[in-house]
Amino acid sequence: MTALDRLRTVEMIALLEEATTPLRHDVRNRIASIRNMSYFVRRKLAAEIVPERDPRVPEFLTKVEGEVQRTDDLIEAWGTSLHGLRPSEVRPVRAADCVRLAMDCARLAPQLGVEFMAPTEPWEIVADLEMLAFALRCLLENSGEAQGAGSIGVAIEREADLCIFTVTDRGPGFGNPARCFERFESSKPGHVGLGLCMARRIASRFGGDLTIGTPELGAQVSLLVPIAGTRPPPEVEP
Amino acid sequence: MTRLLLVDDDESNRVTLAALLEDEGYVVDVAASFSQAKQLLESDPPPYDALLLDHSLGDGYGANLVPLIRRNLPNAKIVAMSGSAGGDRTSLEADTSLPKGMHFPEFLSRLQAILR
Repeated sequence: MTALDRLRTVEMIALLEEATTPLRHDVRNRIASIRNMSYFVRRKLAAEIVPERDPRVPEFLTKVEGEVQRTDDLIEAWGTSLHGLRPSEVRPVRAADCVRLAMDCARLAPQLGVEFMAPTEPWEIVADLEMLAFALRCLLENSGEAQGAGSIGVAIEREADLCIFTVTDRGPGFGNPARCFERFESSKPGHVGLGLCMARRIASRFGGDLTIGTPELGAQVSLLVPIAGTRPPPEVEP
Repeated sequence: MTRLLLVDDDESNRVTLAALLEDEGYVVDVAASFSQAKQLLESDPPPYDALLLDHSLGDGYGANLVPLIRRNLPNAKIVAMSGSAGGDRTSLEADTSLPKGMHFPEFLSRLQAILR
C-alpha cells in the first residue's frame, strides 16, 4: 500500500460526508418540525370534547408520525453505514506526525516543495491521525495548486491550549475569503469545491476550527485543534 | 417561572418548539439568528434559566455564543440542539445536548432534568 492509498478511505468517507451531511441536517430539521407540529395537534385534539370527530384525523396523524419516523430511520441508517466503513481511531497523536503523513500523501506537482520545520516541542492532539492528515492534505493540495511551483510552507505553533497548523503559499490568494466555505464552489477547473469544507468539518470534529488568514501575499489557512489534555476528549461518531 | 431563550434560525422549529414549551408553562423568548441572540445577551440580558441553542445559525454558530452566556448568565444552563449525531462544537461546549427531532415528551423530560 502506498502512502497515498493510506488516506483513500478517509477521503472517500469525507467526500460522502461533506456532500450529504448538510442535506441530512436539513432533512432532520424538517423532521423535527413536522414531529413537533404533529405532537402539538394530537395533544390539542385529545383535549377536545367533540365526541364524533372524524376518526381519520387521528389515524392520519399516526400515519404522518410513522412516515416521519421511517424517514428519520433512513437518515440514521445512512449515517451509521457511512461511519461503519471506517471506525474512528481517536487517540493522542503527535502534531508533527499528522503533517508528515499529509506531506507523504499529498498529490503535489513534482516541481513543488513543502517547507516544514517540525516544532521542537512534541505537542500532541487528540484526533484520528489519518483524518487529520487528510484535512491537512486538503490544505497542502489547495496551496500547491494555487502556487504551481516553488515551495509552500507548513508550520505548527502553540497558542494557549490550541495547536495551530498553518499552510501558506504565494499564489493569487482567495478572491473572496467569505465564500471559502461555500460547498461546491471552486474557481479551479475539475474541482468540486469541498476541500476546505471537509478540512473544517474534520477540525470541528476534534473540537477545533479552520481559519482563513489575510496575508499581504498569497493565502494562509490555519487548522486549530486543542492540545491533548487541555479539554475533554472529543466525542466523535463511531 | 422558568424562562428560556430559544435560538434557532429555522422558523418552523422555532415557532413549534416555543409553542410546545409555552404550553408546559415556560416563558420562552426566541432569537432567529446569531446576531439577534448576541444582541440580546450582550448587555443586561433577562435572567434566563436555560438557553436552547441550535449549532448552525446562518450568520454564526451557537458555540460562539457560549462564552458570552457563561460570562453574563453564569447560572444559566446551555442546551445544544443538535441536528446530527456526534459532537459539533456547540454540543461539546454546552451543558447537555438534545437531538433535534427527539419526541417532545422525552425532550421535555431531559430539559426538566437539567433545570432541576
